[in-house]
Amino acid sequence: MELALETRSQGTWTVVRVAGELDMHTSPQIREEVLARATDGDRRIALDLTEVSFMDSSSLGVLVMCLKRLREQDGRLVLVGVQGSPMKVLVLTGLDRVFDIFDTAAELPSD
Amino acid sequence: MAARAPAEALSLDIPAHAAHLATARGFVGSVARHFGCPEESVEDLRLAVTEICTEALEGDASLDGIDLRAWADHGSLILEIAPRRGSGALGPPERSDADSVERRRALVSALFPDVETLERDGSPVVRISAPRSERA
Repeated sequence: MELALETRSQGTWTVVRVAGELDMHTSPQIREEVLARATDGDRRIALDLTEVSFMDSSSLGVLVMCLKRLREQDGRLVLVGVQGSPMKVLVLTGLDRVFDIFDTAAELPSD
Repeated sequence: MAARAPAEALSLDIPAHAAHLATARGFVGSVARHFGCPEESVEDLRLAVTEICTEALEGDASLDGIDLRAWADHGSLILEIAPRRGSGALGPPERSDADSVERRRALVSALFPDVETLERDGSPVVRISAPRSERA
């Protein structure tokens, strides 16, 4: 199962668009991309999960780690387009209260 | 000791590698739809089997594979996940932190409160059941 990542700039944000299924096997790719962007100096990273059809708790662990890393660098990590089963996982684990979640990338704050 | 799956159970044996978690999800999704489970239950089953298989992979370096069995029992689909131990260790297990393990187990219990961990031939077997549609 392959995961597709596409990174682009949107104003002050780096938007990482993810497509596929996130689990123990594929979620390390998210970690690598986010950490690479953070190392390059990006401080506002949005993970667009609109095309993510599946996400398990191990993937949430990766997202939490990325969130903590950005915060340590006075940055922000937000989620975009979470829906269906991935949103259910966030709600059941209570992590929907930890992450800032936007419906679309257009809603990302510009300030 | 837990009773074995009936002879007509559908089964899949996957290698003990995270790359095959998607294979397990595909099998469970297909089986659940075949037996007429509502779509929300299908997604819950795909999530639960991924969580249970991930825990097995992380917890036992000697794992040879994971056996999945599914069958209909009146108005329910019964799914069993049984890690299969091999003869040697492939390396140290990649154990998640305690928070991750607790989160995973709480998630499975939230999805399937009746989840059972049974024993068969000295090994654990996780069993969950999901409702089938009335017409199935």
